[in-house]
Amino acid sequence: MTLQELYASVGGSYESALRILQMDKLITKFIARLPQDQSFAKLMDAWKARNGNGMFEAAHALKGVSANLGLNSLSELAGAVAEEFRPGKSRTMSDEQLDSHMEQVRAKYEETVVAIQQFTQG
Amino acid sequence: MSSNPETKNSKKLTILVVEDNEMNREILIDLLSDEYEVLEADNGLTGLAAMEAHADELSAILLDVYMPECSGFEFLERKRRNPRYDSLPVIVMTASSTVTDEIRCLQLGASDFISKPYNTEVMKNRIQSIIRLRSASSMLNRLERDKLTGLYSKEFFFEGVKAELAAHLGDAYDIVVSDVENFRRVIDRYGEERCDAFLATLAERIPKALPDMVLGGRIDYDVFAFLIRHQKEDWTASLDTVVETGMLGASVKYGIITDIDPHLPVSTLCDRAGMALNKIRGQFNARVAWYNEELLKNQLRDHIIVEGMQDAIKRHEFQVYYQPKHNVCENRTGGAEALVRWTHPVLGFISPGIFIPLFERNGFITSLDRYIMEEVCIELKRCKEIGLPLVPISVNLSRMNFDNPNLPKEIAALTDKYGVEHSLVHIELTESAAGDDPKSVAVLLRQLHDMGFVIELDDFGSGYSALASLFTLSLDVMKMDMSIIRHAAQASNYSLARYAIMLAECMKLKTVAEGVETADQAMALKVLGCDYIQGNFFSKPLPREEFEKYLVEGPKNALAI
Repeated sequence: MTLQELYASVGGSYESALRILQMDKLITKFIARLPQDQSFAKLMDAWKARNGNGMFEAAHALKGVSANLGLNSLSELAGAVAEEFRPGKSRTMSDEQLDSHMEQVRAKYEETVVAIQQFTQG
Repeated sequence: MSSNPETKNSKKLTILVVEDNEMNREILIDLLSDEYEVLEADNGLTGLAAMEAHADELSAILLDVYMPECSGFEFLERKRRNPRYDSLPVIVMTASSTVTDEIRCLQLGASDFISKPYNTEVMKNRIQSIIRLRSASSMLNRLERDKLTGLYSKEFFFEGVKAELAAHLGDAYDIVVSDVENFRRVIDRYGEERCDAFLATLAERIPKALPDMVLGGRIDYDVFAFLIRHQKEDWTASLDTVVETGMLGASVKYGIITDIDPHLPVSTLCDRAGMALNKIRGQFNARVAWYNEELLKNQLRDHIIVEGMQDAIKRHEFQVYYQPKHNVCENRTGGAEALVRWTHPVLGFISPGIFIPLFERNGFITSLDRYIMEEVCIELKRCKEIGLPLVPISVNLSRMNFDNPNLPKEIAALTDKYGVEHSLVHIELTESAAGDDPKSVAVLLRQLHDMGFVIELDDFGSGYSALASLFTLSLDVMKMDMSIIRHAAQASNYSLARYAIMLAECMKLKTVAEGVETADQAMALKVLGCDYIQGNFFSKPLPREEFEKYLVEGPKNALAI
């Protein structure tokens, strides 16, 4: 699998990643490390604990990390969670809507990680 | 001038990255460590400690906003408490979709912000130019007299004003602040040495133009402040002679606060004079502005505008109006210009004259331009589908769009998405924009032109006419500024309009006259050979439904000429 194929398969933008990281070497280096980034795990923990501030912080971090890697779909999904829990703003989703949105985040993240693993293993 | 900070001396400059996310931090380090020595901190507290330990070697700080322990906001607040760090610039990195965070950071003393995902080229340029300006101005603050200009340094000026006011309580004073417009660009173009010489000349000439000056200071790289005795009459005509033509083509603006309140901090007084000055930034004709309470109100209004701008796009609050252009030769409608109108949910109708300059300053203008471009494509598609006469529609593209090298591709993708022929989309570029970084603009315009888009040079004759731009840019149409028509009509002398049309003919450009109000004007332009006429004589800007009706029925005044 090429980097381009990897990005296409997970709803990312190879061009954005290149604009940020400037060369394939760096894209490959950092994308391989997404699974070690703790933002997603923290987001899941905060969700389980129903901790709004924690969800904001973790979602915001996940949004930033994935945006910097050009993983646009994941970044947008995480961004919506951050907006939902932005301090000082009132919530707009019901708990059911939130849970189903979080399932989408989880699915997108897992799909992305699997694709990255396939990519790194050649 | 060297383009890399490190080429001046062998030692790299040091910057501090404060970011809690390990991966983001390492990305930054990887991207920046070629050019800088990069120190890292993983939250606001360790960041503050690192700043304290390395204050003397640091050139800039890159700061994340949301971090555990101590957020970026708190970091800025704490940094601000110690004047020792005043001259150390902070660039905030945000991933927010709202601007409130950014505004708050700027209020807390951040120098600039960059958004995630980083555009690495843009980021590097920002860091570099901020370091360059700041390092120059921080040197100033250590000296009583600034060597270059002979004016007082910032601290001494503030102290001096305070002492003067305290010694003469009851006397009235004014403060005048001067600023060179777009100084970063002037430096880029002419180099530091010539710009320094220019600043020295300014510092010598401005005091001569001031009545009753008490003292003057250099309070930022290209910003001077002067305390003068209160003047009852308007004396500012004398400022017209300070800058002569040929002095780097630079423009100097002045902000004045009169009869100052001696109890306010001097820095606040200078800020307020600066607020007045900001109001006329980018306005060719205005040189001097006075502070008044209304400016504070305007600032609040501007804040509300900026806060609501992104939602406004989502909610379709921006409406596109179409002002028809009349094809003189064929005596029928030959095109239209798309113009934006905004009815704000709180503020009501806001003039584009208010929100466009704001968006040009904060960069949102590119999003708005893109939105309008898309609306126009949708409208063109619709006209085609329902069988209305198809005429080209022009869209104004602000200068800032041309910083994006992908602009032509993006516009082509947008028009292709709606199956709109490129030749139906005209791009209006203001003359001042074209003159601004002519090379990069020229390259992108050529690409757009080659893709089949039609390029119109807007506002021809409104400012300094850079005739060279007519030769270097791939233009198809010259749009005469309405001031040319208005002056011609008033003086019954169309020689300037005639000259512009002849010039256009030589260059094989079509001509459009805008702001045409009367039958006499239209007639005169027809005789001169103008190709298209736009203005209230034919029609004011129309909302979509009325424009479509107009396309079918034609103008009421069509037969008059």
